[in-house]
Amino acid sequence: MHVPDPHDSEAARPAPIRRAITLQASVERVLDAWTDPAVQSVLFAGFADFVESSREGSRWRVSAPLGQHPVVFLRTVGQSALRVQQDVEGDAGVLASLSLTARPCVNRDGVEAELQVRYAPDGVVERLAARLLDPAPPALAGQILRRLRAGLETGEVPTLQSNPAAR
Amino acid sequence: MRALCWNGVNDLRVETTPDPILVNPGDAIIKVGLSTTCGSDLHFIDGYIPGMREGDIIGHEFMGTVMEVGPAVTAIRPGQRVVIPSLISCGRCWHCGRHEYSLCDNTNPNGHLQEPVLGYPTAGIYGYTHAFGGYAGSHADYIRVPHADVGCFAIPDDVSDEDALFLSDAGPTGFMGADFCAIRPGDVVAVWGCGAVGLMAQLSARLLGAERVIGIDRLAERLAMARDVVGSETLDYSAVDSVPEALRELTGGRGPDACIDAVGMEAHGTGAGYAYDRVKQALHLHTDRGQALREAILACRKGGTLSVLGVYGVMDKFPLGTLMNKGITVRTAQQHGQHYLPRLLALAQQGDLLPRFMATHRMPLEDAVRGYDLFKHKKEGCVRAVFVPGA
Repeated sequence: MHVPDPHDSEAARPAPIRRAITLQASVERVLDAWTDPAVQSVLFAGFADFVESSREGSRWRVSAPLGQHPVVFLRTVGQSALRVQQDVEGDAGVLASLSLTARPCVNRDGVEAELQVRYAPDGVVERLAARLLDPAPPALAGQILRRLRAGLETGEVPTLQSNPAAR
Repeated sequence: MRALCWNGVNDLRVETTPDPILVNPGDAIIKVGLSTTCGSDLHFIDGYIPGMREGDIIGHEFMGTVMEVGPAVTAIRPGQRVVIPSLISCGRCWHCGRHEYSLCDNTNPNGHLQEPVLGYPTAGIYGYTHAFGGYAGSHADYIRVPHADVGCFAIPDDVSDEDALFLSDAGPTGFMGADFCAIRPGDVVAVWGCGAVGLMAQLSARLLGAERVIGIDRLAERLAMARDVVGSETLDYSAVDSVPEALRELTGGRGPDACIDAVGMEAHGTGAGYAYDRVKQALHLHTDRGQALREAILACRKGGTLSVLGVYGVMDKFPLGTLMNKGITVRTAQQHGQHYLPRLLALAQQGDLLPRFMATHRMPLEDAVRGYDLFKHKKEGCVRAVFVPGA
């Protein structure tokens, strides 16, 4: 079992969550959609609700475990032709860092987009709470990317909104 | 509206639910004309496949009339009679571009539920567990059809409702199963199961040029249907000691060129192997009774094709070594209905594919619970129970 050296700050950081997806869309469309609050509202539906946007970024109310609904700020901290980097900021500072990279596929149609999320819940309670996230963060990242793909490829995202049932 | 809802293992009830509404621009609302039972429904009704929630509306094989369309729908209009494949497809993703419509990337809102089991999410299915999207099913007065331009096929005026109904699922599933066999002149195709999908597979194999088609079952009325309506040779597996041996002798010692499994995970069987499967299934140690599939693998000639249409979950005792040593090609999928429907509707118009004979029992939706009882227990010679909402 590998035990990270506590004096090595890079090794001590939790491994990032990485999810990749291949989409039939251009790099520009992927990155533009990713930073559009209207699109983000769809991507994050069910776990974060849009509050407001500003030049620096956008504010979201998150559906967190244990009935918590903290408000966080999604700030774009870096952007290039192929990548957008964002920080998720709470009252105590940066809670997570997101990076979406998009690049044309090699020798096949489409664009590969990779979402990388680094987050480090501090404290025993926060780490336990993170385990209660449903779906778990890696699966959540996958769901977000699939919604992004559906929106870009078809103009709509699959949903069970107003789905009839006897309950 | 009224709808047939799942409320627990072997607990179906016709209940009142909200009507569906247009949600996305590509949606259509269909007034269901006819909706039928399917053998794969039994897998979650019996509790072998998880992922249902109390109150879920079931049903995935249906036809009806367009009532309302979203602003992005251009290929269909209100008032049209349409048939809809059971799998929901966007028509624009990489898989849909390859005509692999049941593998659509963009129609399952619950893809995270499938990833641990399948590796990657597949298309949504009407009325077939939350792992396949959680969409409300078709045993109801109305249903919402996403991506309606891709999912709704206009029914020609000279094709009846009952013929069109079975082109929603049994027809394209059976046809795909036969298509997977890459049938060549002189080929012998054996089909396990003379239910609706098996009968459609047998008919399709004949249409695709098979020299001989052999239908395998134990129920006299189904074997008679295969023989008298579809024109298949038949094999009653309860009357022989070994189906693979019987097929070997029927084919000059070589075996069928292609074997189609249209039975799936709740296969009936005999002997120690079947007893083993039943015990493990009852103990929830695996989900599948695989006798039909194992027979098909053993019976298939060397270098032949195994086409699997049956729905399966998790099985042990799978003879992979037999497949490998005999060089058998395996092809399988949930049906790519959007790919096959234009051809099937044309065949129906020509009179070459008229599945209405499988509608052995027709009843109001309000009697649907009884309909599933007839269907599940094969009472009164039931092949398919067809429900009529609003009747």
